[in-house]
Amino acid sequence: MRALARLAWLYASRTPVQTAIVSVGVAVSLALLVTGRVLISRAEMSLTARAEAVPLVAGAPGSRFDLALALLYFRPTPIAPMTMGDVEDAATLGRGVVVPVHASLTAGGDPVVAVGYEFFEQRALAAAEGRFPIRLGEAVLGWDTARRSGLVVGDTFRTDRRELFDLSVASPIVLRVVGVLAHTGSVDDGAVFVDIQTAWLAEGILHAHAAAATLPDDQIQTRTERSVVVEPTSRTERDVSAAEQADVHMHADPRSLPVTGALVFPASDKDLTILQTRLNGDGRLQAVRPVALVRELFDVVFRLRPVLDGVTGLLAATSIAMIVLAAVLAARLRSEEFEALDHLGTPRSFVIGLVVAQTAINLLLGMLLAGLLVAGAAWSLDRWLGV
Amino acid sequence: MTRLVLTLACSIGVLGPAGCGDRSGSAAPAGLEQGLVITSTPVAAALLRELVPESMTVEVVVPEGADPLGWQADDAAVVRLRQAELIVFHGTGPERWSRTLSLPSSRIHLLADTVRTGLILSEEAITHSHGLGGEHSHREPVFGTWLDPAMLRPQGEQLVEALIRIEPGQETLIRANLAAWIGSLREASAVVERMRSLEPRSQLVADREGYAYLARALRLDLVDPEDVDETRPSVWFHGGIAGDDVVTLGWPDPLEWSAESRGFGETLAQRLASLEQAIAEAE
Amino acid sequence: MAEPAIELRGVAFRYQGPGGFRLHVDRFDAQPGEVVACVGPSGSGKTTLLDLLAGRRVPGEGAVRVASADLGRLDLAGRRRVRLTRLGIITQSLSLVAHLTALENILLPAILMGRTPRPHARAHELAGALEIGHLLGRRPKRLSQGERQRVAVARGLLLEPLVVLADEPTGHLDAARSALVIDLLRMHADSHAACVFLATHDQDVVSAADRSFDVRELTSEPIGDSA
Repeated sequence: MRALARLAWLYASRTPVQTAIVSVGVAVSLALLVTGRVLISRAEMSLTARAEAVPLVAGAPGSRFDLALALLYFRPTPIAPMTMGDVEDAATLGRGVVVPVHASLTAGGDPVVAVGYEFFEQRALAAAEGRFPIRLGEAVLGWDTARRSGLVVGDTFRTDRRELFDLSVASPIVLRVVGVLAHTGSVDDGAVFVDIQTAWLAEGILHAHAAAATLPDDQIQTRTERSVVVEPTSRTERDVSAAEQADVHMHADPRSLPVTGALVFPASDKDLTILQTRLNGDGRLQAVRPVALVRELFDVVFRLRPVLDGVTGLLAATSIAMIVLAAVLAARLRSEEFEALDHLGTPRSFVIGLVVAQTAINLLLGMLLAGLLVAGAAWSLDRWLGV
Repeated sequence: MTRLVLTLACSIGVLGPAGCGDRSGSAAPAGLEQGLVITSTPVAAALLRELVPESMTVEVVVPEGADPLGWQADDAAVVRLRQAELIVFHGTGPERWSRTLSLPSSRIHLLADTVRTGLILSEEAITHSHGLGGEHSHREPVFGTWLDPAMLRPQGEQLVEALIRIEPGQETLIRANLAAWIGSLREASAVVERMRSLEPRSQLVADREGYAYLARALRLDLVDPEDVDETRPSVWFHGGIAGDDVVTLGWPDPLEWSAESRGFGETLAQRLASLEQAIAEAE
Repeated sequence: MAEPAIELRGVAFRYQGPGGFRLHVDRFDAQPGEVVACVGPSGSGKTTLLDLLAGRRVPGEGAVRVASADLGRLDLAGRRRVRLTRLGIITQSLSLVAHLTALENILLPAILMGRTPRPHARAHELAGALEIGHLLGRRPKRLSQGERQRVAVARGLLLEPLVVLADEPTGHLDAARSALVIDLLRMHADSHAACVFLATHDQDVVSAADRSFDVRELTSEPIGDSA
């Protein structure tokens, strides 16, 4: 047995190209076989875990899926905003914590998610470095975002420009990193979090005038002792320093401020039912239970299981045929070696054992490689999704 | 078919790693200090101390002697506020410093919310113009809602409901405190009723709009020292030069009111009685 | 008298391939310590005779007894076992394994039998004697044909077999290297009382052998009656 293993390994290691080709073939076949299932199971686990963490999401009427995707996974979806008045009304019911979420911005392609402070409390997030945002313009980075961007506490960065040619869209603002979240293994790792008011600042709803006094003349319409009128075309970056925060104000009714939606954390199951009923009551809003949504989603996905099983079966058959073919071809390539072994008096079972052992080594290497491929596919998918 | 495509798109689009380490929202957040109530002014703290049970702690976030209207919260103050189970703000002017801070809004109780329809908007508007918006101004409610006993009572009643939400086990005690406190307001209410029935001609003079609710309750005019009608008797809350028809009370700034050694209602009643006397003297 | 190392009795074998022939051996013996050379033109049956002695072919009639094993009474596995454990095989095609080094090829019989420590020293000793000690790390494709042949000879002698069956053991060697191989085979026969049976065209080998015979003689009458 030792002799068999030794000779099989010597062959595999001394014919690396052949071993690599067969192993990669096996790996790709196996990876294709398992990747689909792994990814679906991964999606289900991920969706379920996150959905279970947020009992209820609320927002304007529209696609339930879009609402949940926007609020739980920070995906850009075309949903109408709700207002802070709606959030306050829901909170006034006194049946749980209602956390506003506004996900309208990006920075370096990563979602900049504006949240009420309770978001960090309810999701039990912790700062690995620094702290959570306290003031306007402060940001805490998700773990992966921090690693990817290389930003550290004290650095500044800009939000992405949303519209190049539409002057009515507010220009980017400068955000200051005040913390980095501990790794969570969730979409939170790939996001940037700011206080809800910072989003309104970025959208130009909140603003300060102190900086206007320091603008160059070509960006000023008129300047008097008491007032400065800024050119509407002035599109400078906006950095709200601590000194200017006292001057920040808005002209809109605070209840009309837009938010993408709200995460609702009811105090009890009874409160959950009551809140859902009340929020769905007059049709102005919708409240969705993410867990129910995920179940619905996977009911549909699993209805496709027979198709998936068929494809898997075909792939499996192809893979087995390929492995057999590889073994036969390898045996032919090794006919001289087997002839030599026959001359020396090697038992036939030993020669067969050599072929089996070689196939086993290729399968083993293939499986290892397949594992790496599946993990790599999942990782790439996470990267692609900005998780 | 559309639904199927959407479903598949969703299933692919939301593939994230498993194990979010999330938890349900029903549990209390970590980092809270049990029984801690933080407020913004000595007045609100005085009110709270009459209503909370002994197991609860009341703190004022603005340092003693600092003007709440001009104070700016440092990071430590914000962190401390986040540790409170309940944050009690007036919801008018005294918490201007908190507007742009990231605070747990679900734990903030605004006293003014109870009396929102009765709020008086400040005349001291900030006017400016920028961009295409033209000239505009920002007006905010006047503070001092606690100087009118009729407005004060519902504020206390609602505050008690907020306290009971965080300390349900102490409901009986908190309601008993409320009943005692309401009793202590009777005398102040009686003074107000008495003064209203007299229909005084005096004008009340103050350089702070915080007395506006009291003036409205008494059906008196509140005027700025610069706009005093010298043909009418006047009562100055502080400052002013006493004369035949001018009386100066020397009241402390409304934001610095505290119950001192007496109860909140008794202090208010005494102050109102001194005001009643001052008006009588002036007229 | 000692038992013959090789003993053939009434052996008849018909080779069916192209240019087929009939081999008939009434009686043939070779003694331990004896070096026997079998000569004859190509295709005359030398290799077939070696195959019969190695148990790779089975005669239609008669008995083949090699190294005390009656091959006719053994099944295929038994004959392989005899070949591996008692015989030293040096084939004309050399039968080296391409992906193994020269040393590993020499050690192959020991590897197949699961033995390692002593054969290592023996392999180096044989390689030294055959002047290929410096080539042990190379694979066959990086060796000359003569070097490969000496690797095959070393492998054939590794386990100190009782009978060595060598098919053209000097076919690719110059005179000096041939002499090395002949001396080594001779020494092996002497020192281990082993029988060395050679199929060869090489006159030097024939001269060095204790006796020789032409394989064509086997088709008509028995030859090589031992003393």
